[in-house]
Amino acid sequence: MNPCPLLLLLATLVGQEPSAPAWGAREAEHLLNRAGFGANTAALARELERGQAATVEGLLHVDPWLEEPFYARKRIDGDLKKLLEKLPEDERDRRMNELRDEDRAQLADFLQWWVARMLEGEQPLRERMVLFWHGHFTSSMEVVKSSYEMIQQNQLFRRHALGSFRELLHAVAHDPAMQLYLDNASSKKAHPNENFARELLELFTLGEGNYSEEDVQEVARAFTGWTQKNGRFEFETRRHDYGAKRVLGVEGKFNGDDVLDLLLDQPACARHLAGRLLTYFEGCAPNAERRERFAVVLRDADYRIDVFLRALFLDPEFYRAETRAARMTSPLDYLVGHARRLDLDADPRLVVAGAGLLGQRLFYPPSVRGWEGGEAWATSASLLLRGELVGMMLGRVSGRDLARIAVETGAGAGERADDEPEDDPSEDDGAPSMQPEMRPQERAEKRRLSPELRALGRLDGRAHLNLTQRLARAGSAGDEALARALVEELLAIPAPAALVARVAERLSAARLEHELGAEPFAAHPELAEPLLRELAHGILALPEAQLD
Amino acid sequence: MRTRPDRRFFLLGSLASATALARPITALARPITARPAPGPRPTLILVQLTGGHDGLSMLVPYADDAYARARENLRIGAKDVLRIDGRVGLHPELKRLRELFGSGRLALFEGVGYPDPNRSHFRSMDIWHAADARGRGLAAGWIGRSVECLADATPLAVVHLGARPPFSLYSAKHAPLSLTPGLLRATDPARARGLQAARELDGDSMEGGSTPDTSEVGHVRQLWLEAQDSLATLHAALERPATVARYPANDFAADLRAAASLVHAELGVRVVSVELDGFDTHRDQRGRHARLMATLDAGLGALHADLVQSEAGRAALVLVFSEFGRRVAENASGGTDHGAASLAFALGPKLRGGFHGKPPALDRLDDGDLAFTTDFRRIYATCIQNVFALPPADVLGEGFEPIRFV
Repeated sequence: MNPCPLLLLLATLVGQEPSAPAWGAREAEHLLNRAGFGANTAALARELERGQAATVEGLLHVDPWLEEPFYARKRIDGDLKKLLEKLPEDERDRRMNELRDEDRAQLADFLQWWVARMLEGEQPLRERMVLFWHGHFTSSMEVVKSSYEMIQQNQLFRRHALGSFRELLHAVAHDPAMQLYLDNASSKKAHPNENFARELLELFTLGEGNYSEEDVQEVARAFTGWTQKNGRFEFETRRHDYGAKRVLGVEGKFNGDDVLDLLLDQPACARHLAGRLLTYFEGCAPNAERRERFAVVLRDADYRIDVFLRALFLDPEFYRAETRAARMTSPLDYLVGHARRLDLDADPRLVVAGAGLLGQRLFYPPSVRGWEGGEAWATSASLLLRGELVGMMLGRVSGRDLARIAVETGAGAGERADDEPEDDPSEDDGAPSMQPEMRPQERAEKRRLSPELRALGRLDGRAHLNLTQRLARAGSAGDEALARALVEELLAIPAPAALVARVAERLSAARLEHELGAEPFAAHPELAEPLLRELAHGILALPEAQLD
Repeated sequence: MRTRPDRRFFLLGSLASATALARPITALARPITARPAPGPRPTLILVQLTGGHDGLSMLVPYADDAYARARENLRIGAKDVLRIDGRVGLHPELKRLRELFGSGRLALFEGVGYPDPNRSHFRSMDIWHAADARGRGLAAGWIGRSVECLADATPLAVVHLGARPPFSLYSAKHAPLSLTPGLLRATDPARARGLQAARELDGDSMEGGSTPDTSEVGHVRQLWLEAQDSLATLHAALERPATVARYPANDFAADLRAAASLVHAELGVRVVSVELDGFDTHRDQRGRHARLMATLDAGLGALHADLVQSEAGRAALVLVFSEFGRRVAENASGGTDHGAASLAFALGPKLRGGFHGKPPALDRLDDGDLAFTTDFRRIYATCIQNVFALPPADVLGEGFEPIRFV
């Protein structure tokens, strides 16, 4: 782009190169909020010092050996399940329950591992992209019903997080969880299942309006015979339709891989993906011009995601005023972000369950479109519950309190206690079908409290945090300075002056009440800590803390 | 940055044009005083029977030989059913529903389903929730889409009593309120500790008024204040002493009582959703199904007795459905497997009871299942027309003629 002469002149006048994007505290915080999961003031200062280019490169750098891996071992084996069916009823139920409990435990372990990567991992952008791909190429436990395949898919996203979308797309089409989720596992020549083909065109590659109903049918034919067995991809030649297909005006004896390459060649594909990525990172849909500009970046780089993101994060427009501090955070951004800003050693279980309670239940996206994002997060109950969950992280609300019922209306569920659900083993061709079965006790509780509430109810909500010390280190002696430090530390957006003033007022009032004179609060941790936590709790429950 | 105009303004605009189109010019010219008195708006209470309900064991075709042959162990005989006519009778536990049928307050729809039935719980439920074969491929469920069209929908318009709202209620524009049965203390503005701490610090909301805050923070603050209002209202309504109707002591009945309380309180709640789980009776169906019928009968009976006590309650409509029925032939474990078409029913103080639609033929099965005779979306169409006063095609697309049961 040629800079216009007037701009050049202006830039010379103010002594700044127009091509050098401004890199200040706000820009650094914006980048780390959006590309990572937020950062505390010390980390922000470090990145500010390193400069924009180095910070962006740091985010883009992937070192697969940097983090402790997670290996999924157990899977609900379809063959084993068939064997169990032959056992006497009691024995069968016992073994099935064991299997189910193991699977549930493995799922919980994995989600904790994943969220720990967001909370304290050293490759936040990579985890950010894993989350993005989970919402783009959705699959749900609700259908897949086995943690092994879901975990393998998640690891696939991690391997390809910042790599080539071309490779990722091919890998996803072969992925067993995806095969199960969108029914391709049961698609045969005689009855092609169009579910995968439709979402492939509409959501994964081209976007609505860029293909016809006939394309859906023809694409479905190309993927017949692609299935999975025991958590591995399989190609069943007898189920595949080897005939000629006509896709987007091109004719040939295409198989699934041919179709994927055909789709990637479409300008609409790069445009669609660029639009999704820009919307995700900027918090608002791009205009056509901006989308096209970044679609070209994607195409020129043969769909390298790291190249795309580098261009985005170095683009001055990414830092434009109206996108900064203007995005309603997702539950994970809210909980993980504030835990990171406070250096809280937050319990990943709290974050997994809390985000689920607020509508972002990992591995259970609400629909094949993933999570809506943005303002859709601002539901009535969740706006209040956010404040209570952050209270747990601050040690001011216990899990038991959070899961407490206000109005006891029912007496119990006696008559339903023995109505255990069952599953038809013949259902879901090719799937390791494992309907979540429950024991009577659990079932009685099930409707009263969601799994998230039950999980939260078991957590104590103790905080590994010393706000007094932390703020004293920041050298905040005066009440005004202390208030500013607290608000700045907590919020992902610039500290509003009115809020700082109110916090300072509260501090001064406490100083008077406890006759502290001119002594620093740090000298009285027994007074200061509960007060600072209460203030922090209030700040984080405010609308200002819901944005980044 | 705001990408969406204020919800209420946006919807107001869309409704104004929709009604203008739908209404003949003479009606528009009529003076305001000639309009019917604006009574309470009707509420829809959705009762989901989760797991796939065996409609044949609820409305029993006791006189049909094909039924007797297919259900050698599970059949309910002529002397046990609560007879309706020479063809069918209700399950013996359904005494109160039988009474409601007698007084014309129970509408029965036999053979309800859709083309190409899906026998997976999740998929079929999705189809019912979306009112579309694409299921969750759609952006919103049928209730969500309806409420998006309502000009006067408040944040309280859609309430789910239970841990997780079904997809039918889903809409990004108008998220359903999901209330754990009995309500969480943490969602009560008077008890939420974070909110209390925040209120001490929030100056803007008290000072504001003269200049509206158009920033994103101002917008979220607006939603946050609205949320406090709605939740305080809900807590107050549900904590009020119970109505005179006697409900049995179980969770399902507690949900129904909460639903009735919300209707009576006239808070702008237009849809309440509740769920009764446990209908996936692959084995030992007889006893389990009978207990479910008893729970259903006692709960719905109490609900109806409660609803008739207020004008708002009398305007309410209760719709009961399941994701599919069960196979006509019983299995070897004393149960039944996933089937296709099934029974749906509605009750309410103001509806036209009786049979609606054609019963499915037991001797002409589709792959072992009942073939549907009534598309479930025709029942939805009636609800959309009568409860929401919307043209059904706006929500469902063309081709679903309402059934005249209201």
